[in-house]
This record gives sequence, C-alpha cells and structure tokens, in this order.
Amino acid sequence: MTKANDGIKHLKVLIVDDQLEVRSMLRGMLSELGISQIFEAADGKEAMQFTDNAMDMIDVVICDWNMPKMTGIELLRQMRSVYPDVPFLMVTGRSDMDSVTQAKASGVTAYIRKPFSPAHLEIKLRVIKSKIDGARVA
Amino acid sequence: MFIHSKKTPFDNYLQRLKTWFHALRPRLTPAFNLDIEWILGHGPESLDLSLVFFNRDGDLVAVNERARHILPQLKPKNAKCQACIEAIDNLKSFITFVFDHSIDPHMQTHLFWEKEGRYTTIFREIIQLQNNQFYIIRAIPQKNGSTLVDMTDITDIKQNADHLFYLGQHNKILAEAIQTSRDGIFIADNTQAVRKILFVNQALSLLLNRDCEELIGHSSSIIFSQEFPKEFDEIQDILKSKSNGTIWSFRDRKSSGKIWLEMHLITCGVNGNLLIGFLADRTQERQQQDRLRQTQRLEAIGQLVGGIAHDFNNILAIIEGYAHMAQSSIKRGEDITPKLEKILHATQRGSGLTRQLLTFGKHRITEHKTIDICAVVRDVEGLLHPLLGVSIRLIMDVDKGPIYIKATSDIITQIVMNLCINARDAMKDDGGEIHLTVIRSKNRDEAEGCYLMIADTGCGMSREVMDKIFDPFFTTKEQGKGTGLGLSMVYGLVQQLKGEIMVDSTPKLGTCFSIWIPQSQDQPEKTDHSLSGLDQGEVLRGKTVVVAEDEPDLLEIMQSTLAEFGMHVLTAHNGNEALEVQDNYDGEIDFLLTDMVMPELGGLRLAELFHEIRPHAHVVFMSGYPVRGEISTIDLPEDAVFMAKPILKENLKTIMENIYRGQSTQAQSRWIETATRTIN
Repeated sequence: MTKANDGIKHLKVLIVDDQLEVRSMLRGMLSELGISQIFEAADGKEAMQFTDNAMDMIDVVICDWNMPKMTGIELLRQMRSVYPDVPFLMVTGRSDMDSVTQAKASGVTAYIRKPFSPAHLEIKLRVIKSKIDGARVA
Repeated sequence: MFIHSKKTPFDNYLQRLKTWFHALRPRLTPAFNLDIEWILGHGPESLDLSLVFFNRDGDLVAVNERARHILPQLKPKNAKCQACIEAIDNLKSFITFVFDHSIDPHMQTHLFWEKEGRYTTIFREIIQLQNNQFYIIRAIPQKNGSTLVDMTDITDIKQNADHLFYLGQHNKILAEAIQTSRDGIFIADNTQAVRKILFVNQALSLLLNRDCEELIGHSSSIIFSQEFPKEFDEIQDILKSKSNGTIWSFRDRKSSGKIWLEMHLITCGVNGNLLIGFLADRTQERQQQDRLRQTQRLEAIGQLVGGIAHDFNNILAIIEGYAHMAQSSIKRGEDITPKLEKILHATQRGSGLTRQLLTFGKHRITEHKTIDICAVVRDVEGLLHPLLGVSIRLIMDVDKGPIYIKATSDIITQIVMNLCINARDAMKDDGGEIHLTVIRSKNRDEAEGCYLMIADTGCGMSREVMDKIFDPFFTTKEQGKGTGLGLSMVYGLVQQLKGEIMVDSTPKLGTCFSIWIPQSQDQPEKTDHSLSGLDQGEVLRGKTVVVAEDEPDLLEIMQSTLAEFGMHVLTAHNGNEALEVQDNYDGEIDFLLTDMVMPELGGLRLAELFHEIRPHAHVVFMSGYPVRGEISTIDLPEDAVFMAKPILKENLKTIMENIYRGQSTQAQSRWIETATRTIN
C-alpha cells in the first residue's frame, strides 16, 4: 500500500475534532497512508492558534463539521479570511444534499462523509494533492 | 260543535256579524244570487260548477253530479239511501263536515241563526279532503232564505302557493346561511371591467377588516389588491376566461400574523354576468396538513426502523461474535485476518442498510436527464436474463424508439429490475413468461408519454393484497426473502418521474404493472461527437469515461477517439487528477481508462481507489508494455480489462461495448486475449 503513497505521504496535516477517539482514529489512518507529520487541535480556537503560529507547517486541515463552540464551517471562514488558499477537508456525518451544497458553497476543498475507510481518506487527500499541484502549475 | 253553543261571548259575536251581514248582503248576493228554480229546471249537470242547494229549512234539496263527485256523502233529504254511512242531507251536518275538514282561519265565515232555529250562513272555507285535495267551499245565502253552496277544486293553486311560500322561506334561509357563513363571500357584477361589488357577507368584511359599506359599490380589485397582490396574473387569467379557479395566498399580517388565504372564484349567471368569490382563512387546515404529513413521515420511519432494527441486530451480533473470537485467536497466536474480514463485511452490510434508510427517508436529488427509455430498457435485458433463470421466458416488446423521457437510466433500471424480481417470485419454480413492453401512448388526460408494462403469468394477487402492495415493508414473501421495500421504492421512483403506476391482477392468472411516464419536452443533450459515431457506438453513446494518461498527446488522441464513440470524456494527466475529476463530477461514471504507469499514483492503485467510490465503473487498463506477464493478474480488479498499446480504435470499441453489456468475468479473460492478439 505504502509504495503508491509517495505523492501524499509528505503532506502535513492538522486534525481538528473535539473527540479524542476520532482524532486518534484519523491519526492511525493517516500514518497508515505513510503520513508522519500530523498535528491535532481539539476545537476551532486551538486550530486558529496553531495556524497563527505555524501556518507553514500545515498543508491540509482535516476538520469535523459538527463541533461545539465553533463549527467546522465557522472555522473554515475564519481560517480562509487569513489564509485564503488553505486546503480544507471537511468531515461530515451528514449526507443530505443540503449539507453537501452548503459545504461546497462555503468553499471546502473537499468533503468526506462518515463513516469512511482509509481508502476514502486517501482518495480525498489525493484529490486535494491534485488541486494543490494544479494550483502550483497554474 | 261551537255553532250550537250559546255562550254569551259567542252571542255577542253573532250579533255583531248579523249587523255586518245585513250591510254586506246586498253587495254579496247579487253575483251569486242564482235562480235556483231555473238551475233545477235546466239540470244542474249542465253547469261547470259543483253545486249543492239547501232550502230555507236547511234540508239538502239538490246536488249536482260534480258536487257528488267531490263529496259522495251529499244526499238529498229523504232520498233512498243505499249504504249511506254518514249521509249529509242538511245544512247543519254539512257545516259540521266543512268545519271538521277546514284548514282555514275562518276569516270570512259568518254563521248566525234566525228565528225558529233556521240558519242563515255565509262563509268561505278551505277544506282538505283525503288524497291531499283542497277545495274552497262557499255558502251563499239566497233571497228566499235558502242557501247555495259552491265547491271549487283549488289543489293546484294551493300547491303552487305553498311552493311560493316555501321559496320565500327558502330564500330567507339562504340569505341567512350566506350571512352567517364562516367563509367570506362576495358577489360582483361581471359585466364591466371594474367588477363592482354587489354583495358581501359579514365574514368577508371581518376577513378583510373593512366595513361592508367600504366594499359594496366599489371595484372588486379592492379585495384582490389587498389580499392577493402577488397572484394578480392568476386572477386575471380566471377573470378573462370567465372560468372558475382557486387561488392561494400567504399573507404575513401585522395584526393577525401569518395566514393562508384561499379564494375560489366562480363565474355564473346569464352569460357569466356574476362573479362570486369565496374567501377563507385556511391557516389551520394548512397547519394540520403539515402536521399530518409529518406524522405520516414519522410513521413510515417507524415502520422502517422496526424493519431494519432486526437486520441491524443480526449485524451487531456478527460483529460482536467475530470480535470476541478474534480476541481469543490473538491470545492463541492465530491469524485473525479472516475474522476481521467477516467484521468488515458485516459493517458494509450495515452501512448499506443505512443508505437504504436515507434513500427512503429523503428524496435523493438526482438530476434527471432526457433519455431514451427504449434504449435503457433494451440495455436492462442483459441484466434480466441471469436474474430470471432458465425456467422463465422473457418476451420483450419494446418500441423502436426513441421515446425521450426525463429520468436517469438508474431509475428505469431499478423499476424494471424490481418489478421483474417480483414477477419472477410470483411464478416460483413452475416457470412462466414475463412480457416487458414499452409503447408510446397518451394517458387518460391525453398527455403524451409512454407505457412501461411488466406482465407475468404468476400466481396473481387478491384485492386485499393489491391494496397494500405499495406500503413499505409489506411483503408476501417468506421471512428473510424480501424487505418489502421494492414496490414502495418503485412507487416513489414513479412519483419522481411524475408518472402513474397501475396494477391489474387476477389470482392464479397473473399480474400486470403498467407505468405511464410523461414524454420529455426537451431534446436529449448532444455530446460533442462526429456523425460517424452515431451509427456506431449505440451502447457507448452518452456514457461517461475518465481517461488517465500522463502522455499529453496520447491523452488527446484517446479523448477524440472516445468522443467519436459518442462518449462524454473526462481527462486527467495522472492518478490524483483522475480522482479529482471524478470527485468534481456529480453524474454516473461508466468507465475508467487508465495507464498502468503514471507519476504520483499508478493505474492499479487508482483503479482500487476508484472502485471504492464508484464500484459500478468498468476499468480498462492500458499499458505500453505488450506483455501482460509483467503485471500479476491477481492484482487486477475482478471486472478490469487489460489492453496493450497502441490501442486500435475498433478494438477499444468492441472491448468497451462488451464490458458494458455485462459479459461475465470468465468471458473477459478471453476478450483480453483476443484484444492483445489483435494488437500484436
């Protein structure tokens, strides 16, 4: 599995989720994809603090939609106001069309529906990687 | 009888009458003062009158035939009486009889006695006899003290009068009903464009919060503009065509909050000269409807949950069981991979169930395209044969087409498959025939469209079963054989297509489902392809393909070749981009054509990942290495096909067509061989 992951294994990922179990599961999946630089934040505020101090350390933000205090969408808006290009992968438990449309409209780079397999996560990261590369070429 | 009573008040009354009578007599009598002798001499039968004659002693002396016809009891005094029950032979008994049957308020009745017990009488009474016959009886005193009685049949007149009276009452009742109606009602003059209001009831003035005086005599646009400002065009249409119609308006009022108003306009009267409007506050009904809909939804969800909970428990049991077993296996140092696979498999089943739930609970929004139903149904045939088995004969009678409808091929496939599975199960092991028909036809409302009919020669259904077949979770199949969702899903899908579904069934003979689908007004979307593609790739036409190839020139060639087949082509320069392209694409993707070796992400892993999200896409691998030996076939996904470069147009087409037609996997390796050989 790992040999094919050359493209994404150097990505630096920030996981934002209020649940410890979800964070550690995501960390597990990401490490399985060969990604080693993984950072965590338990809520939007923490995530903002992290990016304010060390934005250059982050390639992708993986963020849960449904969080207390600050929702994923709110975090996305705040973060984009400072870093308009930051790739943002939204994790959502909802799968209805409205939520998808809302997610797309608020400018997420990609979204992934719960539950997802490591392969799904890989696909989404690859999609994001492709977008990053595309932007670089352009 | 009161005429005999000699009480003082009555005597006074008589005394007063006597005075009147003497004053009246000269005026009353001449007209009726007939020459009795003359009449008797000339035969009373010759007169068109019913006459009875009493002499001055009060004895009945003459009665003509007409009178006897009315009252057979009338007999001249001393006449021989055969079977006379209660013969009336004198004035006294006659008066008694008349007063017994009178329905008159005795307004014009005057009785009094002269000396020696003789009566003089003048009266006009209305009597009612059996059979609801009504007569006016007039007693007219004659000069010589005798009395002439004339009887006139007034049954018809009386009935007409009664009707008129009733109608008068009726109108009052109607007016009352209209005034007290809870719905607002107005009537306007429809002969002029201003449509002056002629009448409004109280409810209307309350509803509009205006006095009647502010409305009557004014143009009815006062009502339309106040309450239906947005529905102006609709109202104009109804008014212009002088037809009837209902208009809804949602108003947010400062005084009474949000309300739903319904206005029903009716044109009536001669040449539609009257416009009647019924205005009602339907807020409560609307709210109730909404609540009802919500309740029904909850009920359906309740049914679903009940049905699925059972399945879920099974799945949980499997997961739990294997997890425990895996635990103990680890302790024993055994390989737990097979057990983990079981667990994974069970979770997949679980998520399949939740997807089903979501599909049912919500309308999945899929964009409907204009498609040819005939082509889609013909395509489904390939899927049906393995499904139906050998004992069932499938007879296809599909219109040559094209018949364009607004749908997705997925929906049509689902409908056909579901109905065919039911048909198959209705025929059990005995076998039989399924007729699958598509014909162009109008529906009952004369709308253009087509019928999709699936008829079987199975066991049929009773009325009771037929009433319930579209309910979710209703199934006649054995436990575990059917979810009961099939037909309710079909029903939902047909609704989505704005179609109609009908079922006809005879027990022991078979069942026929007829689905009418409206014709699409649009033309099918044309993909950019050359004309030569039209007569060729019927199967591939309109299908979507993702091509991943890192060589830009080759990618361009592939793109134009595939476009020539009539396919919709999405291109990607590497694996990651291919994933991005499919992620951005909302529609169905039918094929993935990928190079084996690419930077970032190779073809094999791409196909694996692609299969995760788009399991129905057919994969074709391309490689510059002519020998397959370099790539282990075990790595290839089951439904993948390998082609060596250079790719020949004709080969590519044949192979893709065959994959799409669903040639079995065993057959595929043969295709690969052929392809490779041809290329070499």
